[in-house]
Amino acid sequence: MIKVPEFSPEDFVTAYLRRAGALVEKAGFALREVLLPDELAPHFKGSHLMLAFDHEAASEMPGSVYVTYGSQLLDASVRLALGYGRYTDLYWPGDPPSAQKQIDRQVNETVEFVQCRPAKQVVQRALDHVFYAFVFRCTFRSFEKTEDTFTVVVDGHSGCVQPEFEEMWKKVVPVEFPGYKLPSAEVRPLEELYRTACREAENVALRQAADLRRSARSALRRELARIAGYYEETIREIEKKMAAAEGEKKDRFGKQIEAAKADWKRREKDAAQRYQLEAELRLDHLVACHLPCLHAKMEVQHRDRFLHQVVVYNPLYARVEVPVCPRCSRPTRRLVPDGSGGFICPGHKG
Amino acid sequence: MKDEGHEVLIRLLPHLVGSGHVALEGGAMEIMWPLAGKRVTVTDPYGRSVRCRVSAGGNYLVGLSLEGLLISNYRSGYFALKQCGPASFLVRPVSRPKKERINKKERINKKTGTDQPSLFPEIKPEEPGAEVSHGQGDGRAGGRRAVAGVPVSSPAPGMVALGKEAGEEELRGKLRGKRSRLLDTVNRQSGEKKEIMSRERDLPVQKKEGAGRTGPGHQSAAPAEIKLHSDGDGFGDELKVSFFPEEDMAILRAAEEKRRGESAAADESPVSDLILHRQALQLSLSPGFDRLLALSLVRDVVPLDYQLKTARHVLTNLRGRALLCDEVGLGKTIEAGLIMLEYILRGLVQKVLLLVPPSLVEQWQQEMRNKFNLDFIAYDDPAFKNHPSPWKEFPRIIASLDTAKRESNRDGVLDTDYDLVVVDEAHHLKNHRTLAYQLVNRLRKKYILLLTATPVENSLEELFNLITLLQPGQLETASSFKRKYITRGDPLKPKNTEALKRLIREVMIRNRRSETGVITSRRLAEVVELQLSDEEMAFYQRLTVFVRGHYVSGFSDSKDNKGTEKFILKMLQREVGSSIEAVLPTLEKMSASDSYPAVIRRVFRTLAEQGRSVPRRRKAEALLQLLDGMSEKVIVFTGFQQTHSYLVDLLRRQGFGVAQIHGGLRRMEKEEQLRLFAGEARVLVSTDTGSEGRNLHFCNVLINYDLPWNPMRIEQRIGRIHRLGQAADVRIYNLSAAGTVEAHILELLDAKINMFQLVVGELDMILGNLNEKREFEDIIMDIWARAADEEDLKRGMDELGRQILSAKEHYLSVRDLDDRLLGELKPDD
Repeated sequence: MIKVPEFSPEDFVTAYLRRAGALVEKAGFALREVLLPDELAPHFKGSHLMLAFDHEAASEMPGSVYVTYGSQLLDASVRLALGYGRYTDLYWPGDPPSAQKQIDRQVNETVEFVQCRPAKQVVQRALDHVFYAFVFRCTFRSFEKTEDTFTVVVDGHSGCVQPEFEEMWKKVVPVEFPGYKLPSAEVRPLEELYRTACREAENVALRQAADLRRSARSALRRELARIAGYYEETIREIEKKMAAAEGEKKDRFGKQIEAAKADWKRREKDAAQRYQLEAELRLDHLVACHLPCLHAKMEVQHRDRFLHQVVVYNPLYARVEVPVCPRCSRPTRRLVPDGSGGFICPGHKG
Repeated sequence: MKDEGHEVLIRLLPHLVGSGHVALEGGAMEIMWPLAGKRVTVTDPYGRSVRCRVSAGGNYLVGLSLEGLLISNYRSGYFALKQCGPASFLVRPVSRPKKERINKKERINKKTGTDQPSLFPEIKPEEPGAEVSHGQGDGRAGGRRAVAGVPVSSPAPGMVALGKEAGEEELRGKLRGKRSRLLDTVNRQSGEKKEIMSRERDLPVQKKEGAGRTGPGHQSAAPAEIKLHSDGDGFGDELKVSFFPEEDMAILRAAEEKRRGESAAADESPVSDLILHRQALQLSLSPGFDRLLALSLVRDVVPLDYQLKTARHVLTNLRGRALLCDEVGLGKTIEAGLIMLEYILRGLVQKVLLLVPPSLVEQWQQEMRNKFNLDFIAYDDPAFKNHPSPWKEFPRIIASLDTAKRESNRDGVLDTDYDLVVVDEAHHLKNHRTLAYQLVNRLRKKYILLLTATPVENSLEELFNLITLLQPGQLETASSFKRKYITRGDPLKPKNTEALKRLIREVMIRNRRSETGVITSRRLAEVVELQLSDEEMAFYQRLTVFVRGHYVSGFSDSKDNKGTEKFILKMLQREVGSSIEAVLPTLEKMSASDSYPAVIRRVFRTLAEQGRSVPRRRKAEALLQLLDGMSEKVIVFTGFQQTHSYLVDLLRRQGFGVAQIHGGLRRMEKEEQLRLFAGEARVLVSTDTGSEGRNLHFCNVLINYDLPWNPMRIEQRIGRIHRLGQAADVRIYNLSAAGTVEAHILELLDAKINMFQLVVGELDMILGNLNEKREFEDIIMDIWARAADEEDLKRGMDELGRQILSAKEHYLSVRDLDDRLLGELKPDD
């Protein structure tokens, strides 16, 4: 949603501490002297810190705290900094799109109004649309722990997932405050959009997990087979010896077999646990991308009646968006009159 | 308004969550009835207010923001409402009243799951009397509650920023003044003001989540929705997907509030906050093993491509159980360190046990600390020794195999669960009948790395034993392995090599020097022999006689001081071997110390006087001569600070451009001197510690002005320039004054085992093969100090030379064998 410049732990910690109200001053090569506000002090065990971002600088400055990847101070800063920027509004940087001259052609190329004459534009107006980018943090746990983030963008107006939006939005340089003033397009309840995003996120997680599952499964199979082979062979060998033994010796072999079986079971359980796959999906942050879109009211003649349908022109994609069926909320390129003045997708007709 | 000041209860009913309706019952309905259909203001304990509406029937308070406010204060679903004005109320969370029972409707809802949005589970009131902990929660509680004492949209500790200008000015004042006193005063004065400001300003949405690289013991908030996806073939391949909608709601609420302009933070969270968040996110993620997190943490070492490939292969394909058999000197320690650090950073490993030969304990400990930032406690550390259950208690332990298998330790070692066990020089485990093998076999471990360059010495069965330690059954059982894979009558000749290769590939990695192209340049060593002047030799011999005379007996009667005295005598002998300048300060210090008998002090004084009177420095002259004869940049190494100063001074006086580096310089000064050496200076004079971690490969000539008695130190000196990136052959000049200890050491190391031609690490292998278990420098000092005469000294040194030679031959034969065998069995890429 926004480009994060390259940064070092020093850049990050300094930025975070300043943001949290601390006073940070350069005190030498890779050294920063920090005075924390009272609220922050308990998290860093003191209110006055000397931070060293280089291990030699740290050793030269007794009492300094060496900050590097994996150090407690960096981890604490990361944990606390994650509290910022959980929700952000970003705006389209330019002016609202001007009225589209050939909207009729674009609409008719995009949508087929079944049993109707080609649509004609009645009026166009620009409205502020919000596209919610739900950024999920996904943690896969198996024999290894892998974390990733992925973004699901949902159109606040139509409620549809917008897979292309993120890539397209990267090409613009969004601004914090809008340079335009427009009425807002109707936005669906955020919880509904969230649920849509969750469904999509689950699909993404499943796709991402596919490789992991495949490799975990085959590795587990191999390991179980190997374990079984080893213990079967071991037990067979002990049994062979046992057959030729007598008395105490025989008992001892019996115990060995029991121990081997117990060991076998334990190892199988261990292996199964090691390869069990889990995915945890959490909403990490939310970015509302405001984009002025054109709403074109189209007139469509069906038999002797004139029906109306609003279509949306998205300036980011530079195209008319596929309308959504009001019954199933799914995008559809074919619309049929619903008999009461509106349009629905063919699946709902009759 | 009746009941003014009286508290009544309101409830956040689970089935209404999300609808924006808060139920009013009993007393609450009575209070609200006159306000039905009107707007009221509700304020929470943090001073945040929201406007909401009383429903027409007077039985609900309506407003999503109100619901958000209540949930952010959530403890049990119950809140006390207190009227404080005609249309304003204070609300605070309370525990569930004891008499409260779940009503019938809720029970039905619970059973049927109706009235409940699928992603939003029922919010269960707490058990009677149960209070939510406001300490450091265990993280298992619901999302918001998991934040220690911090309401969702209230200022989290550390999140509250002062009003920018006022707060910064205040802090700046503190920093400039006498800090602690001023800090207290200013805090007291501004406490109230800050509190108000903190409310007005920054209220970032805070929630507990799996941030940071959490350990296996990490407990995240309990998931509210779990979905299982399974292919159903019974191989434990279910994918459990968990969502945490209750946690996520905090963000949605913040968005809603902002959209409605109800949030105090309506214009906060600008792009800079988003960038900060993204950076934090980037730092807290544990990506796949393709991206090694450890790489950003290692220092003083740049892992080579094959080492990174090895680490990734072990992590990804070998699942943390591997036999690392790289040829000597290719950095198995680096590979093991990378793997270990990677696991630790990802929270997959906490408890580590490092089992190494006794002589390498300190080296491993230092390498782990210096290169990987990992502190290990050694078994001989007093804290470890004095602990009742040290094996269980300390998270990272380094011990020798001998110590671990000792009966007194065995139970403690075996009674602990380890996430990772690393065994260096694992060829000591080649025999499955040994105690060491059985100990490692019985260790409870998740991951294990066995490190050895020579896994096979006498039979292929040794390889079987090592691999079985990693993966029992990988090579089947001992008898079937013998039957299938070893040629009868020749235990070192494998058969069915293709099948064996396939199996070995799953657990073993062997990088070979010839394939890695590590360092292609050669080492060319030369001994610069010189004769000390008569005065120098007289001084040297007199000091040596003193050292020999007291090395065994000591110079005081006290037995307690024997160790210290030996150390001092050894130091004197080493210093005089470096330069007179190095030994003089010690002699002067000793002569002034009351700890020694007067006679001894007098000797020290006399020796110091004699040293001062020596007019020439033959070694220094030889150095100047050597430098005059070459035009390249040169590093001159010495082990002593005084010699270092003397040389810097001398060389400058002679007109050489000199840079200097030693342990006393600060980081910036070192960098400056290195820049000087890379630029105009021709000579760099360095102590051993000064140049640690520095890459000086732009220079290819090294002069050992003095020779460390510890051969590994010599290796380290050479390693500063003979490393990756060195294109030219490295020339090493060793200044050797006849008749000194150093001359004998050079004779042993250079003439006998040709150490300067050995590759990195081989010297270690050879010295490790010595029967003598003491440090090399102690052996040398013993021979030197105990020698009755020159003949005796020669005999002693020759004997040591024979032992070293035999150790080298043994090493070479095993190396060749492994090279052939493992080369044959080495998996194809």
